[in-house]
Amino acid sequence: MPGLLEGLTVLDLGQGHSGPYCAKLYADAGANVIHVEPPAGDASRAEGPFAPGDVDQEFSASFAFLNSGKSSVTVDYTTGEGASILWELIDRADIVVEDAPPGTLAKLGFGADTVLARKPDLVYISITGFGQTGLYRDYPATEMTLQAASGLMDGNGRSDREPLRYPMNMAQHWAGANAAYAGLVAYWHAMMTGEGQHVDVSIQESLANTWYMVYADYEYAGALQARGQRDLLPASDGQIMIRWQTSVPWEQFAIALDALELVTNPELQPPASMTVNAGPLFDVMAAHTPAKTRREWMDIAIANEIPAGMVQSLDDIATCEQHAARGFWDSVTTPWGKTVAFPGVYYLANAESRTVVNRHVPRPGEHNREILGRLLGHTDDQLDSLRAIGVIS
Amino acid sequence: MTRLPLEGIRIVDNGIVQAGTFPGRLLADFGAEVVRVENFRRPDVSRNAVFPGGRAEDPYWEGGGTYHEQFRNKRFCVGLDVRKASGRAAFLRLVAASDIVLDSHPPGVMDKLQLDYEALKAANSKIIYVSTSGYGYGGPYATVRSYGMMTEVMCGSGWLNGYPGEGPRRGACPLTDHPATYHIAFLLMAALIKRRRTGEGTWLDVSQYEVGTNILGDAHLANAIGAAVPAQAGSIDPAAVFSGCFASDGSDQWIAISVTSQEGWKGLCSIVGLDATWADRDITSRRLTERETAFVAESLSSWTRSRSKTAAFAELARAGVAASPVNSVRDLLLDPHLAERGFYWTVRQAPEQHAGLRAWPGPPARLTATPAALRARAPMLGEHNREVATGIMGFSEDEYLALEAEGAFGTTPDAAGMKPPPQDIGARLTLGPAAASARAREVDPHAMDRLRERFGDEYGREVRATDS
Repeated sequence: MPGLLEGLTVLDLGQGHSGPYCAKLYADAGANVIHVEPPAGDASRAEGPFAPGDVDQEFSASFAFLNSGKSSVTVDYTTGEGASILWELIDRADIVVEDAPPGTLAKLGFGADTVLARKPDLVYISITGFGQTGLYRDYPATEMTLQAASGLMDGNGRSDREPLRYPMNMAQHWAGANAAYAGLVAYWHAMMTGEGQHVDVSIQESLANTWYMVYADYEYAGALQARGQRDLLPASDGQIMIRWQTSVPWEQFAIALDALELVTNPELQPPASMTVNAGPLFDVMAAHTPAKTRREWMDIAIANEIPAGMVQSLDDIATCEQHAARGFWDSVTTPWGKTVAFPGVYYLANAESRTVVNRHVPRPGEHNREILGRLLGHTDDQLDSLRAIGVIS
Repeated sequence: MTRLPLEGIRIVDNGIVQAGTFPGRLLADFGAEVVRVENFRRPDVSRNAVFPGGRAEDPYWEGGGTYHEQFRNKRFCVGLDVRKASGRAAFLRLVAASDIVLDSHPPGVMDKLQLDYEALKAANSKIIYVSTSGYGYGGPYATVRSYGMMTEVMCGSGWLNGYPGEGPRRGACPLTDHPATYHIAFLLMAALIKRRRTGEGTWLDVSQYEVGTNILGDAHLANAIGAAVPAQAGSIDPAAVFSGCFASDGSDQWIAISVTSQEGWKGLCSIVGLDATWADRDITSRRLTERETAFVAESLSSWTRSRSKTAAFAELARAGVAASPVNSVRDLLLDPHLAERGFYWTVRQAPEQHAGLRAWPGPPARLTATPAALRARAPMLGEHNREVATGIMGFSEDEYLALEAEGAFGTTPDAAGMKPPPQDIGARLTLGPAAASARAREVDPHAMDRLRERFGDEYGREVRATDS
């Protein structure tokens, strides 16, 4: 891995998906990330998806994805002894990431003000649904309600049905990436000036910041986007997307699609409505695309510089030749000894080919001895007595 | 003005719409100086996307709302023809005086122009160069022409997205573009930090397909271990004990509601009027049956239908139930919470941009000690040619005039490079390859009134040079 952030120490207090994803981006870029869990382990370890035979829920796919490559320490910082260990960890951190509801950590004595008073050069990142201030600050939220609040769901789905939620934990990951960015801006400032600060990231705002042309649609034309996209074309083995754009000569496009009526039929000429890919052009394309496979259409699109894409299932993606050629996948070995593909980083640095990293998912408290012992200087006896009273595990 | 964290960082923004260029805006919000470089003969398509109107003599390429939004806070714009040797040399002078180059041309284009990483490194050994493309440099799909909605269906989002039993469905926005802007901005900062530590620049080759696969990484890992992945699951939170998206009062208005805890369940029961036998049930261990779920949904639907989505939102929140209206951009622009947070900035466009004062999303995140600041409207095409040529690039006035005369610098598109937008609003909305649905759900005749009430009476009023 490129190691852009070598030497950076990050304390991950996140319990949901947004904080851990933020810290994951740091870990994947080479930072030393310490994930702090309660002695019983994060609640998210018990969140699926789990493999069918994993009755003890040993390997949560979402936890493994978010936490591989981090160290795990278990500390009950609601206790006095645990709190003093967390302070010792904070003293050694450049960045702290948390994603609890506003005020949660303040109640435990670890609010941003208190922590920054003790360590003024620290970057303290908080990620929450609606931010640390404002009318909705304390409103409960989930992935779906935040997709709704941010505008992500608007426009997704059929026009005659309810708006559609996007899959998985996309909004939280999206905001986690924003937090990773904003946190490094604050870290840059701390490096230059010694001044740390609280970084307040709202999941709603993280998404609502990026709606590009949709704002202009409303502000300049009063228009709100419709649901009901018609843009997936039938191929012989699934669905594809193909779009005409002005850089492709019309005749060349017609030949590529084997749709000569686009040239010969006077009613099917550009520009007018033909250039609208969802309009009559879609029907013409849809009449021809079932003749070939998705992959055949991709080759035709590549040869003619026509924008295109295939609807791929997760299995398709797992065997995709592009990911293989770029060395995208890492690997991970499950507790039952099966080694499977693990989604890797999304960039190549300096065109260096990526080597397959066998990723390690830490057990709860796996690094207690190394970090609390060797790094913080607690003796084995001290750790044993902390364990005896349940402060660590 | 207070000093912002990224003052002193200069970014050459050679990107094309969205993920290619938006990261520059994110860094500009915290003080980075962005020099937008644009092929003036064939400018960015966002310049022509959604237009407030204007007179026949107006430079139509300055009226694009999407451009005004995406390029606010970018300090300079240089109209440059890098196909000319002198234009290329000018570009390299800019690179020599900068920290970061952002690019999103398809793989091969910059190489052909001899503006690949090696060429840039020769001009500036410490340069950070970020190339964003659909599939990255290399691999069988490297040269696929691609937009964010295509990598969206490639990366699994299209396949996972949908109503039960209806098959895959693409979403609304060109999906991978949006989160990718943050993933790229993060890399820019990481590369700056690495350079400060080691003195070395970096070439970062970002694949949107890989960003999409990464952001859905939990689904891909689940699939790899043979776990069931919630695909085409409709509008539910898969882990919730009860969730859904319900119609509220009004035309096509909706509210998403999700119960994930005992407290939320009790709140929902009190809202809907379900008695203690329901409310006291240990909902996380005794899940609702299908029939019970349908009954609760039915009761909740009649409750949501009888009130506005915002009223329902407030009542549900008070009862401890996670919920939110399905917000459109209109809802967001008028939202009282975002108003209180100061999320929107009002930007006065130049007279030539004939748009007056407009509201665009402001700070991506709140840095409490060094908040993001609005410092500039979107620059006009080639607005700073002279200033940048004789300043950052170090040409003399005479040299600049000669370069302008030979067409290395310019401010006006070729007739074939960009056409005036159609007058019809429906047609305008479909301009640009990224226009997703090609249809508007609604054209709000009161949009201007609503926005003036929210952002002040000056909103949307043009101030023309000739009027003042």
